Amino acid sequence: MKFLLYILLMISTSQVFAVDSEQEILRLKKGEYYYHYLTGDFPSAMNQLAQWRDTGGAIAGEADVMEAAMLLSLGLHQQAQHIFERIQQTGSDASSQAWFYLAQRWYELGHYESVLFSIGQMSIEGLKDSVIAEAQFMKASAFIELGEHKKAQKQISTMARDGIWTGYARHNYILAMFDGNNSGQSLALLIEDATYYLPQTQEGKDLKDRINLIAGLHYLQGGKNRSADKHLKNISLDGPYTPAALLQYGWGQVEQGRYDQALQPWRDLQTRFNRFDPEVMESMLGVPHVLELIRAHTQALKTYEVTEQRLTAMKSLVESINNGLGEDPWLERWISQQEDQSWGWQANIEKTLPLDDTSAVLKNLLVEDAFVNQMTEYRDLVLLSDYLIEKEESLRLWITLVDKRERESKADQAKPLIEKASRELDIAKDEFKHLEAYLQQSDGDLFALPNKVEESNISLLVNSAKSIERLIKKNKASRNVEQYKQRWARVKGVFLWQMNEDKPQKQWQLKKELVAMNRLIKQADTQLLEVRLAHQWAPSAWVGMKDRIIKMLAKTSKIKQLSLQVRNESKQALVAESKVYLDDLTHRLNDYLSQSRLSIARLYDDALQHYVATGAIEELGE
Amino acid sequence: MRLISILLFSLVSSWVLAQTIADNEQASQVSQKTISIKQSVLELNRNLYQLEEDLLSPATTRAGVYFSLSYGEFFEPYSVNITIDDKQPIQYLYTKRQVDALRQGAVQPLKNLNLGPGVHTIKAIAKGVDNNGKNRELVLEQSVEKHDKPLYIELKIQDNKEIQSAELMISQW
Repeated sequence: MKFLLYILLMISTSQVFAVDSEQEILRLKKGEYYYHYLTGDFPSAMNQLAQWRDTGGAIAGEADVMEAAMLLSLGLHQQAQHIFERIQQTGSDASSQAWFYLAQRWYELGHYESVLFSIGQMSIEGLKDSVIAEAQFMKASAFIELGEHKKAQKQISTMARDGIWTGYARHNYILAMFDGNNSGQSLALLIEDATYYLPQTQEGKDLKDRINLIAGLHYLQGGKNRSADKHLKNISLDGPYTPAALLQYGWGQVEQGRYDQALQPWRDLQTRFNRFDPEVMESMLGVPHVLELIRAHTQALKTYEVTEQRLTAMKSLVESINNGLGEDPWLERWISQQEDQSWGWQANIEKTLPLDDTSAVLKNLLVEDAFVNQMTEYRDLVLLSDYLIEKEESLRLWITLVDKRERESKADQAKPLIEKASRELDIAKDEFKHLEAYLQQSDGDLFALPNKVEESNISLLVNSAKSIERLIKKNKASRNVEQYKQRWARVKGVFLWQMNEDKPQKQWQLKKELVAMNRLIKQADTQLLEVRLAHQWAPSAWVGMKDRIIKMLAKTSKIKQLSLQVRNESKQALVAESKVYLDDLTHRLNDYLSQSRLSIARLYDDALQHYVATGAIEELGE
Repeated sequence: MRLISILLFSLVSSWVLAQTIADNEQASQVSQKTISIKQSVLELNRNLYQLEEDLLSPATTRAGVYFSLSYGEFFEPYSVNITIDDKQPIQYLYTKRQVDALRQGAVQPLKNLNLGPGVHTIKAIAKGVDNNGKNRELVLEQSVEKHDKPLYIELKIQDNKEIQSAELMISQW
């Protein structure tokens, strides 16, 4: 009974240990997933998630949420939304971070009700301040888009006063006020607040410029030129909104009849900014137009002529770029300048093109989000197809290696060698046991552990004993054998005394050697076991691997072909869209050219009329 | 004449509109295909990862070394240096983001190894700073035993509030 209890205890202990061990391994895998997730390595996190899912159904719900967050991070929105819709219906303890990612996605897609729902599921505990601020911004903006301005205002009032996200929320609120034709003191105060409480960063400065620009444009449209001037003057001269500000400021001055003050910002615009900027092109015609207004006809004519030459040169450049756009590797140059080599939504992408003629002309195309998304998609496809090409090559190398290993495994002579070594080791073990037994018996054996001299002495003693026995048998009276017997006994006694004196020393020496031998035998035993196991595992370790690799290679090649095809399609779509943009640009340049040529003709005609009217022609004729 | 002009203009406009719609549809189709490829690559990547794991480390010799941080109040790691049987050195330098991830409970997979059955000696040195900003080294030397199943080794820096310090510990499964 006691024995049975002991057995039961042993079984239950080993089961508890196994469960604990499984739990710990699961904890490590979960921790590994979080490590990849938190350090932004999303493809590795997805791999880990698959392993994690395989471990059991108890964590399937949590894994669902994690997978949806991963898919969102990689830009696979539809699948992620599908999962989240299911979670929305069934309920889940999804993490706030995951809900935040979903809210971001809904916001980008313009599903503002869903933005509010997702943000409503978030708990601010444990979230970074920047995440909380962005969530608040999305909430306020969603309210604005849904026309709930009071709720938006209330939300903005809870946000940190000088945060960049508060600035963006205020910017959206101001735009909503403009759309609703709101005006008056409160709007002016709102704009003042929005531009005053912004962080002193580049992003903060750019946002301040943007708010001033939209305010300036709004007041210009409403005919409030002084207010417009105030805001346009506040825009910095080295920001992304400077060209628009300089152009509009100039037109504002023209509206107020301050023609000379309009010229300076436009000249500034033409000397400092890209000639293909729409604002710069507009100002090219604006300058001679103002010169005409101030009746500087000759200067206006000359300026129109210079403008016409510039526009012609620009048009021929645009046409030549348009003709060679398919062959120009501008997209590849842009991809090669990216430092971040990851793909997906959270990849850190440099959106500006490398500086050259093509990028100078296409610069304004990058203002469009849709085009940037297409470029990013093309970059993702380039990275994915390169990855697939690399993996295909790697799988081919694996097949070669597995083949080689199979051949070597068939030809190897390891088994007889292992058997021979095993037999030799068995002999050594027997010898060891024999010696051990001999050492144990040595205590009772008087002649035990003799050395070579002692062995010869023992044989001499034995021979002498035989000689004495022979003499005794003959028993001649003339011989006194007793003397020999006594002498033999004396020699034997002294010899035994000496051997017994040396015996402990010899026993100790033998014991020491036996211990060393035992250690060597154990080492050889372990080594032989490892070799035997390695030999057993070596062929079985890769059994079935070749088939798996071949299947994987076929799958990889198929996806690679598809990705290369879509990559080409994506590039063609980008080139086609760029061509449409360049065609539009050519049309615009044609329009400007026509206007400048018409103005030149008109000015010449006016001059001719003037001459005719004043009789100067007749005078010239005379 | 005017009528013809209007007709021509409307024809050109409708052609331009049709062209734009066609371009948008093409872009949308490419987007759909890209999403499908991304999903296929993710699935393939998962399978490839498993295949490579199986090829490089069969279960009988597979061993994984993991690194974790419990709270990290008394120690912030800069680097770890690990040797197994005075061979296979594993060295790692940590970034702020990685330390933050470890503090939030993440477990770093340091390295997957191939270890034969038997007893192996692990020596580990974690360098970093303590809560007073002073440089510190946590040192550990311990034996682990590998059987015919995969071995998981976790090196953990654990805060010990009683002695107001951190310790480097090792666990195996």
